[in-house]
Amino acid sequence: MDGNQISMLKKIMEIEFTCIDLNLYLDTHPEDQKALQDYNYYSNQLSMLKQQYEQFYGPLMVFGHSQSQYPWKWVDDPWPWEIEY
Amino acid sequence: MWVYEKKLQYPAKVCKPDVKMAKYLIAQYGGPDGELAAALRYQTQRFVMPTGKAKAVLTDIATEELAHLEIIATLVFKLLKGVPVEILKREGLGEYYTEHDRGLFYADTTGMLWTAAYIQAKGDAIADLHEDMAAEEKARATYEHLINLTDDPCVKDTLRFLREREIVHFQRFGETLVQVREYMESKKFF
Amino acid sequence: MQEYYISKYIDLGGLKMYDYNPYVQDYAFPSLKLAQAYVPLQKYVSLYPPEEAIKKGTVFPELDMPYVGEKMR
Repeated sequence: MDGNQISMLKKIMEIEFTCIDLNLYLDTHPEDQKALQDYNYYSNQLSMLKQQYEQFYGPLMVFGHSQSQYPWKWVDDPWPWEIEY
Repeated sequence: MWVYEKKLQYPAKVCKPDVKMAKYLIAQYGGPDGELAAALRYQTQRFVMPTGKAKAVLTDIATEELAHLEIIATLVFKLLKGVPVEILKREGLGEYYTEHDRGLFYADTTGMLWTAAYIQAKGDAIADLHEDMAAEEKARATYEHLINLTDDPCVKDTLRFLREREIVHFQRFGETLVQVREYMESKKFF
Repeated sequence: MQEYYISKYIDLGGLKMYDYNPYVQDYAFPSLKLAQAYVPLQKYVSLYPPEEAIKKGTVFPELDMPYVGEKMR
């Protein structure tokens, strides 16, 4: 796994983590406009980052959430627990 | 439904293999206050939550716990990677090796298998939310014990992340408890 | 419901905890009742930037409560 893939993956983890924590906050504060605005901002950033990553390294999610180049790249190693960060 | 994402929530790493620590960490995989128990507890309790907000909190925290389960599995997997059988035996993992080799299995640190008796679902939102807050505190305490048990800075780093998540979850369950109670009280008067 | 600041009603054994807490949202409770547990509702104040948030384990500075009791080995 090349250095670029790892750094893209870490960037995705960072932005997604912010989305997760804002998501949980919004679950108990659904009318908080500022939080929602921040969530939407980071969520948009996250989908752009994931799209970029998937173009190079294959799908992060299957079941139709993103497309794959030939051959089906979902099966490519390494899987998450095998990566040396 | 659930969809898997081919990435960890946190870049979990270990600095060096450590059989003893793998044995202790298994507690958070298949132990009573571990991540499997947490994920399944919240997942099954959400069906009787009375408000959309509470259903969302239980669903999303259950999902995050599955991500934590994968992080713990990754730590154990990496701590055992390439360790010779002789050392597994010497460090107290002989019994585990017999059944599972270096694979992951839902058991606690003494080899006790995971059981549904670790979790509760009372069918009562208030009782269940108290259980969830207690579960988060117990998991926090376990993470602190685990941090004390290792000198590997890489393992500590991931354990600190997981411990902090328990605090955030406690806050959300606490807010949910108050909101659910308010909702139920408002129902009484109409 | 402005008058119902939770802080006005928390009185633990005569100890008024009441300095204004900027991280806690006002609750619409007339008062706290006995035999009930309460966690104050968090208020939206500020966020850690994403690269810092993941290191801390939360995006919210007010929920960032690191483990300080680590035993010396």
